[in-house]
Amino acid sequence: MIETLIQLLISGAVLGSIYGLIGVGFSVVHTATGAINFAQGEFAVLGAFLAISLTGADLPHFFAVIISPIVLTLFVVLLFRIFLTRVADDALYLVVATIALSLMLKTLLLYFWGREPIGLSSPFQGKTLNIAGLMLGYDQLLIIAGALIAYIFLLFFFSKHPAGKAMKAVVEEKEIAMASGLNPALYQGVAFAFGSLLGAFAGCLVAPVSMLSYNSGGLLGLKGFASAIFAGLDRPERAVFGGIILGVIESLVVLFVPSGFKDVVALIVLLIVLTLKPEGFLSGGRKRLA
Amino acid sequence: MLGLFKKYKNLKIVLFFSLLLVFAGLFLNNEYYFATASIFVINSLLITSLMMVIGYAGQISLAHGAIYGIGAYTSAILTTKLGAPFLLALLASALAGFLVSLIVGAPSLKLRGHYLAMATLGVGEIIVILFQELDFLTGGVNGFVGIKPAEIFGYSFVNLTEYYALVSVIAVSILAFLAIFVDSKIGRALRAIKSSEIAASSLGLNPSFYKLMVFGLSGAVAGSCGSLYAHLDRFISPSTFSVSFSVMMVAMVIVGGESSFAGSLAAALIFSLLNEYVRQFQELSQFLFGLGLFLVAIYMKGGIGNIGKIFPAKLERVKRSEAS
Amino acid sequence: MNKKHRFILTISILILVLLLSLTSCAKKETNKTEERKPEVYKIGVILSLTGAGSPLGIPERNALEMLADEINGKGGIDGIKLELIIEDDQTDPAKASQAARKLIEKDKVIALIGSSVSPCSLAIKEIVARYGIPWMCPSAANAITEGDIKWVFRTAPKDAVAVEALLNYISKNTKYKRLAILHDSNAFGQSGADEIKKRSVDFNVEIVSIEKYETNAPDLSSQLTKIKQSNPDAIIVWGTNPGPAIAAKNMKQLGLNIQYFGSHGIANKKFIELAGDAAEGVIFPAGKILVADQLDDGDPVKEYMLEFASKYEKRFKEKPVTFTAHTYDALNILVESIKKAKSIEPEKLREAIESTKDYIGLDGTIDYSKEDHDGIGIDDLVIVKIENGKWIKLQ
Repeated sequence: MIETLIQLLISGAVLGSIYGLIGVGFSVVHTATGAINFAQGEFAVLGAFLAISLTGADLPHFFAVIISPIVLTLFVVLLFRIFLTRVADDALYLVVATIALSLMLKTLLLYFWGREPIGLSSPFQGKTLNIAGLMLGYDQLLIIAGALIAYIFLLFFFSKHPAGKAMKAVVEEKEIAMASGLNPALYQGVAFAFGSLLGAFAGCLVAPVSMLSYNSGGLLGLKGFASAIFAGLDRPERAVFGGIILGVIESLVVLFVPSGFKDVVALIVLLIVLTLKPEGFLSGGRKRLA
Repeated sequence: MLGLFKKYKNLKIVLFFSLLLVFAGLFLNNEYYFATASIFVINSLLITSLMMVIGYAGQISLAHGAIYGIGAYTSAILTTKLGAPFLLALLASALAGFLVSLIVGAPSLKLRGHYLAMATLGVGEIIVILFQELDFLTGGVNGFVGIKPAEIFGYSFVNLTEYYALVSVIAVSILAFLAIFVDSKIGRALRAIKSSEIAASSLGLNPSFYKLMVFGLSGAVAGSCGSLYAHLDRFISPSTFSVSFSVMMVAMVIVGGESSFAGSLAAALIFSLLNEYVRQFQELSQFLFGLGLFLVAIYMKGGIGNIGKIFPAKLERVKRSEAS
Repeated sequence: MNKKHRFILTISILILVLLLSLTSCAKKETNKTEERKPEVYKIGVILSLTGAGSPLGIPERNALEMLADEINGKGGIDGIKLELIIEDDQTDPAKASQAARKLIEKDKVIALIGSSVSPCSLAIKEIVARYGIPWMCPSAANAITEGDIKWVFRTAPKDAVAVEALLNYISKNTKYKRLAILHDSNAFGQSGADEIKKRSVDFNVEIVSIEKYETNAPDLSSQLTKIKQSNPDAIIVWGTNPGPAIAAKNMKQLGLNIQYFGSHGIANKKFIELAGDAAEGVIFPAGKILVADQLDDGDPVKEYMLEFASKYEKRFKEKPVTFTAHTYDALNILVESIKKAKSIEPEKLREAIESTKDYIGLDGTIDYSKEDHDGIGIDDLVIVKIENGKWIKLQ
């Protein structure tokens, strides 16, 4: 029993790290634009598919996993420059634009990569770590590691790096930011691109474990959004832990309820947490002035 | 009569809408068109009712599709499994929509913005899962088969031309009520609360009560829409009421203009026609729909309802550039 | 609102009611299908080309286009060409019913084919019952051929048949008694699991645990960990890609080494490709087309299937899957019936389809009768095992 419990805990942490990695993308975009990017899930799938195509062209695995997010980021920068700057200052319209974008991206994914799910064959395929009867695949381990790296990186970026601080300032104190010579549109674009980079990175880590199809973006996006909200949007890096908590709940709950109701329990927990702490479970509290 | 229109500005739009429906009724000549028109009418009601939540109460709901579903399943179960008359089922659907919408709206008392969006999304998701899991009631994922046609005093609305007339009458009455509601004392109070909750409370208005009231009202409308839809297709299944439909509804409200009756109705028209139009393009269907939405979002900021305000601005710009 | 206003409002609503009821009375004359020879035979097709059903819908569409081109290339049916009007329902039943109305009322098609997933087909069933035109259905839910079956003819094996084939194999050829079920929460997975549970008693097996997962779920370890706890002899995974492949991989990684049985949803190369080594030893029911080359030479369908497979591969650069067969047979039966009926009048065409006997198609041998509108029986399925990345016919 205790072994099962620990195994479920580990499965949950893996699942949660996937959610969290996608979740941070949401928070980062939200940090500078105040909007939710509904195409975040599709960005993750796109990133994974690009990496798959690159490895298909005989590129080494690690190379593909690094190149793909960069290519996607460039694409998103262009997209932002050409179209989205027009609505960048209005979160509502930006949200609608990303909803539209997710529909269009789905079709592009279907057109270029086909209707069937595809997997990324990683060099660790099938290798498992056996710690006293507990099974953990290398690829799974990599997902958890990736989530932790993203956490540390973002923690540093937003608290120490000037660009990170500026990005936060753009939405929180727009007038002050503009007066001190910051260009909001620029930082919004950067945040958007940064969010997609994280999304693509997440996609590349997930693809070896779970095959993605052009249609997978919706579910990933939904769980990612939930993780970001769980953690509180004001602390982007904490979305990683928001995701892990969500994943662990979903995983453990399977023991007690029929798996069809797994999400119901996870969502009820989320609702209760939100009622107790309206700005997210892990948020820094109500620091912002009204 | 004129005084009424002066006092309740949106009634003019409702009148125009109803004339449009009558006019359409005269010219349409097969049941497919009547079904499409009925769906347009149902979408109009859905989008307008959600617009009230977003535009007038300043809240957001990503559970509107789920509440639409609550109405549809309530009506289907009551008429088909329990043999209740249609009108009673319609009322029950509205009531069910009202009650569930209060639950959806409850978090709005504490949560804001995206947090509220997530909370409502969560409730919506739970409802859809229940549609799937409670299969002894709902038919599960495969759907609810063989819903009885709407029947009033023994007359059965199998013919879609007649059903369109029925849907239109019900919808126009509801819309007229909403039009009066938003410009009534309550509507004005709502706008006061939206602009400043603190100021409104100091005037003795209770924001929580008003917010919940709008949620409830919009839920009642969405619930009746569900009933109307269930007896149109006479088959319902959970996927129709999924989160993606709710998201699309919110997008339509924004596209139409946050607090515009005309905009919501126009968005409903575009939404319904675009849905019909893109199907024939097979794999490209979603792309074309997305493209349409994308262009509207990017180039029609402020909503279709504000289209009048966009043009003069553009003209001025042209004039200015000519002058220089 | 004061009294006067209320009065005016009531009056205006009443006027509206009157106007609207007038419009409904001024109904146009009903269009009757003329008995004249049409210029083309229009056939309506509704498939899930986008959304979750697209892995089924797209090959189904491909098969139809291929067959229609072939027939038209030979001059059509007695000189009259076929025209397919194809609509995408986006895997949404609400859109499927609108598509059906459009095809019947606006395009005046003579028959319908569709849709890919069961909820969409059930939505179409209501519409077809209202207008009464022949309808060939390629999806699996039992309910499609229950109740009023006058207009519906199915070419796919229904859930019950596939489940029966598998349970029959398990109870007769293996000694597994304690089975666990892991299934997709969509219509395909849910109906399959329900059917297995219902029939388990007849086949003398015990279902020790049932777990489900949402389509596109990235990881199934937690469900499998729970299944492991119930200590089953074997597991049945009922779903379409990628779920079953993820399950196979997760099982391997969790060290859950029990026999894996699948559904006909994994009867495609994709599953082997996705699951890799983990696919080894998996056993599932499938249409004969999957292992056409291994059929007995005496099997009447063998030649026909091999010919189709090579044509399909040439045109679409991919192997045909079980779903391609469903629509291919549907259109073929329709064409044969049009020839036989010498009429496109719905009732005559329907009778012609109903009298189909010993039709040899890609799905197997199809017979319809007044009571039975399910063409495929348990004899038309085979049990297949994956060995060294290849399908081996077991039975």
